[in-house]
Amino acid sequence: MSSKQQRYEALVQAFHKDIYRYAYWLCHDSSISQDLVQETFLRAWKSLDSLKDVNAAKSWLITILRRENARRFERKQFDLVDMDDVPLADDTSMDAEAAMEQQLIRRQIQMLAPEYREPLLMQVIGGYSGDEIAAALGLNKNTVMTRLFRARNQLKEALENSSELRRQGNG
Amino acid sequence: MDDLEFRRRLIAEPYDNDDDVKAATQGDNKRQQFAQEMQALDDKIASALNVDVPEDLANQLLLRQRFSEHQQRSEKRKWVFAMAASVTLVVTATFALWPKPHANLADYALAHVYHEPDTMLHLDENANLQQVNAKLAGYGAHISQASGRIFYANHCDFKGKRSLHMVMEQNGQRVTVFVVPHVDSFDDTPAEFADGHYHGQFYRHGQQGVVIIGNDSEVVESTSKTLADSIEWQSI
Repeated sequence: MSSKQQRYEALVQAFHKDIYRYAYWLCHDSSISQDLVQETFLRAWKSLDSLKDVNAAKSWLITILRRENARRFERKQFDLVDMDDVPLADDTSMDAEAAMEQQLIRRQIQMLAPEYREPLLMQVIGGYSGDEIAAALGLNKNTVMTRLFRARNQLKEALENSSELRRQGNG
Repeated sequence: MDDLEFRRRLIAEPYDNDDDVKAATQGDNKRQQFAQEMQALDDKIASALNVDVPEDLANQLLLRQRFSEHQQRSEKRKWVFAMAASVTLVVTATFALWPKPHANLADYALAHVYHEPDTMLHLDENANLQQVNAKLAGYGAHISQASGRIFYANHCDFKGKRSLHMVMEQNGQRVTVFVVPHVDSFDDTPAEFADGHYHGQFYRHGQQGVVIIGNDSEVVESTSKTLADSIEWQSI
């Protein structure tokens, strides 16, 4: 096996899950996500020689993924699938309350405006720092930090409201 | 760092490890608790983002890459094959169309004799020396005397060159004599040649060449001598 092949396989094993998840939160559709991941890794294979720094591999893949996603919108706007129709994570290990909470967070993440959601994806899935997000999105760091704040704040408030509601319901 | 700034920073980045955030947290229970809450929220967000990944996605990715690699390689192969074919075509066409010297005069003369077998067997036009010399004049040659009968003397096409094709009698046998102008346009021709059936000699006088072909090498030799004695050349 060529060393390029080995590098590629290592790349797939190490990052395909995170890249798939990132794709999923960009388009909320499993099969489109799989297509995006396929295109992303195929492009990665073709330009694997340009990846010099192993530590940059994940953000390199995310960059490719985001470009592929943008191309998808140039080609055609797919219909978004409603989250409720899509089987999500296996929640069997969670208790009912935690599962409900997770479902709520997911719905809230999906409802976030894209400009809030994407910095959050970069931070949590991609492991980017604020500066890296700013560089990737072409924004200044203050804007990025504000968006991250608003994104998380929305999620936080939604969770607080729901537990408030539950308390009231229970009371 | 005031409370508002502290909260903004931790909500934006719950795992912010900057020194000023650490310093702002230290010794402040409320802030520590807030930081822990935000980190707990972030863990929930992270686990919410961890949607299930199709089980065989990694395999599909590897399969797709192998497939495309294979396709690319076979396209490359196709391309190489096309290049090879086109080079072959060009080389072949070059060889076929390149204006090259005609084949060896001896081979051509033999082929000519085989092509007109009648001339060496029974064709008899009973030409006289005068007729022969009239034709030879065009090639700057003149024969003073013939050693025997002249069965045939006609212009013929010698690979695009007008030449004189004669069949003479020598020692009672038929001998073919070609007088060919501009022999330089042919490949080098050996002075003597033979195949299983015929013997031949070639000599040249300036640009003109004489090819003698007969069944017997001695007859060819004596024809050559006779001609050498009787033929006179003028420049044309």
